Amino acid sequence: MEPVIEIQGLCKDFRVGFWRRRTRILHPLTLTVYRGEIFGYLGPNGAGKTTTIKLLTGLIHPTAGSARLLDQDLTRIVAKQQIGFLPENPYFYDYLTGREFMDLCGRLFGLPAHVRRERIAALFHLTQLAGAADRQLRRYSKGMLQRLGLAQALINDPSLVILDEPMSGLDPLGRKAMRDVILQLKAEGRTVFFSSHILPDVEVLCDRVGILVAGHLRNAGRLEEILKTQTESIEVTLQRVSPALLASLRDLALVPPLEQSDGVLVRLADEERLDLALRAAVAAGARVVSVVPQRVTLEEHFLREVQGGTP
Amino acid sequence: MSRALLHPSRIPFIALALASGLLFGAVVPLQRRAPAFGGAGLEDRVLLLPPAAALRVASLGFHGTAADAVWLLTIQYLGGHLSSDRRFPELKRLVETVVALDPHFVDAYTLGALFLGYSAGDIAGSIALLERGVRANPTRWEIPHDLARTYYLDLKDYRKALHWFEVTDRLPGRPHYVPRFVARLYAATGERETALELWRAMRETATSDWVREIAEREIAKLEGTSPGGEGGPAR
Amino acid sequence: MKIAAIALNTFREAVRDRILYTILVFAILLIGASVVLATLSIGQEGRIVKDLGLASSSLFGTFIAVFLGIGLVSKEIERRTLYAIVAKPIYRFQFLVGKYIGLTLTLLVTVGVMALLVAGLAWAVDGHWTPGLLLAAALDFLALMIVTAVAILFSTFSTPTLSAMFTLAVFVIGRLSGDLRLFAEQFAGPGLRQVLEGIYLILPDLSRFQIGPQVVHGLPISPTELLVAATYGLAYILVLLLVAIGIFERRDFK
Repeated sequence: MEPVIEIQGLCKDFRVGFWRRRTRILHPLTLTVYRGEIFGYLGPNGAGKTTTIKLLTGLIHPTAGSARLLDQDLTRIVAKQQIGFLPENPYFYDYLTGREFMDLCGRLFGLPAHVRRERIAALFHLTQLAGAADRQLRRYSKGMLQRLGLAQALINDPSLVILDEPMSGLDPLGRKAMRDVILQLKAEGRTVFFSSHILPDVEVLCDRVGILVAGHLRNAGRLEEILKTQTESIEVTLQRVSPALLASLRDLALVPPLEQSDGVLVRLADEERLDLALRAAVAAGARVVSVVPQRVTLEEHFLREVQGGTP
Repeated sequence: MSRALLHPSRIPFIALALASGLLFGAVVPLQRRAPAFGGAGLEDRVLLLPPAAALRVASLGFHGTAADAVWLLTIQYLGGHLSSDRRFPELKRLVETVVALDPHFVDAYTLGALFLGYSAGDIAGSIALLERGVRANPTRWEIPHDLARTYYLDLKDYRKALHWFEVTDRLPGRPHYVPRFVARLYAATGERETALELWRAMRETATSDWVREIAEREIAKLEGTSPGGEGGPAR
Repeated sequence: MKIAAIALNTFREAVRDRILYTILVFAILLIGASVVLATLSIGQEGRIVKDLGLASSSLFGTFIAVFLGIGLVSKEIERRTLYAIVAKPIYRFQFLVGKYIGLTLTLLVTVGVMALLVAGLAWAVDGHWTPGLLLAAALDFLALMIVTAVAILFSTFSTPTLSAMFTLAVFVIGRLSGDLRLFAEQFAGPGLRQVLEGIYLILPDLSRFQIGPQVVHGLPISPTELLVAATYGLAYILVLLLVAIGIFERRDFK
């Protein structure tokens, strides 16, 4: 799989405060994002996610390290031709209409007039902003600005789309729509890199994630792999449980088995115990209704990472 | 349901009522009474007028506009005192400020000198002002012209008048009568021959009949009178 | 052309900005008032209309240059409207130059309107056309372009408010430059004289671009002087823009 974003030791210091003390905001970051995947960049507020994205989009200069985007060095202008960027809480020129702004963006990519026209129409349709196309941006609601931000990020038909907190400011309908768009982008073969702290969305969308805490990358990789290593327990639901079986299960289980309407819920610590429990159940003539491994949710994993030790 | 006096819906009305009361009960009557010691009258503005150097800086390089402003002040000062006490102690300073701000403001020299001479009776000041103007604007005929007139009419100093009329004569745009005054003044100061030469030259080069007639008349007068004759020319 | 796209956009922004019209209205009122003021004089109407007209045009043009100029970069950084633009394939200097050209165009239109108004009023009051009035306005426009470049320079590293203050300070010193030099020659001791001389040489001497007095008095204007002033102006603008480009390139947009 070819890399689309290759970050090597990228780090950033800022001079903060009255004494202009040099503070490291982002510690040397090494990260790769591959073509066609949706990569979720997670972290609490202030972790350095936006700093990373600003480094990638050229808004700030790295203190050290380098990165390649679409096999071009980060600093080259030509790298940006194939990239679409949606800033966090986007704010655009409020004296322009939606159409005028999109046209400006198109011109900055060097798109010819008829291409601009076509794409603008298509993008307005996609983001459901067609009705407001000729309204001044100062009259756009927050959600509309977010959608317009997405539209301007796509005007150049980019192969890499970078989104900084794309869900911010959107209501549940808007978030669903954004999720659908992101999945659509992946279906079209584009690569999506987005930062977020809304974990349910990330869980649903991402192929791979990276977790950034206080400027350090804690963990990066496929979502299932990260979470699989943390299987908390396995829940088994049984019916026709005899009292004898119940007693032996009580020994095996983590907590006392729970009587429920659809059977007895037994929580087991690991796969070995699961094995023993299932054998016992089958031998006792009980019926196995379901076996559900309880993975730690991304949220729990995330909290653990954040709280578990700051450097 | 009963409401407290300071209920939010009542506050705008209360505020408005209080404001009206204060306005008509206090502000307006007080304003009618109080003397305008806040706003500077014309005299104050004139007396407190900063020196030209300070005005130059304050006007941020817009010297011409500053000169205009002080000139308008001067005119008002003049008009004010013309209709009251006919004394103009600050006139000289005002006019000098104007020309310090804009040395090329010709009207300030000529009209200023006029006011100084005739209204304030300060002929010496008037002449000093005009001489300053000549130094700053050597190509303008208006200023030496007024010097010549002052010497001629007010001081009856025909030699100086002649000098200044000659200066004026050499400058572009000078009035048509200046050469004739030069000639007459030569005659009046005893330079009969020079005067005759000038009149004869004018007779030859005259483009209109009446100029030629004047020249003829003056020539006749000079040739007819005895040498050294004088007579203040009337025209 | 990407610079053209930014320039056009800047022009559009200025034209839709209410500040522009407010200042323009005040300027027109003042220029109109000059005709009324002129009636207080005794024959100097033409002079007063031209002096006050050119001064208003210059002063209000400067206000427009400063208030729109600081918005060129500082406001964009503050409001983050810059982000979506800089992340696109456009060199930062193209952005900066485009903004400068856009504002210059805006000034050209507004100052043009004011200058034509002054010339028209002067014609009406004088009864004849004063040659050189438009030339005076054109040269003053060059001074305005310098002030705009100063505003852009400050706004690449400073907040909008500070940029406005610094630019106005440079404007005031620039206009007093000639007087400062005279003052230095006459009154200052050697140390102070060198400092003042240094200031005079480095800061823009805006008094060079004032040919208003000469035009109003009908004095001749030497073509050499005009050429020197124009070259000085253009060179100075280039210096300012180049420094601004340098600073802007290295700036982090936090």
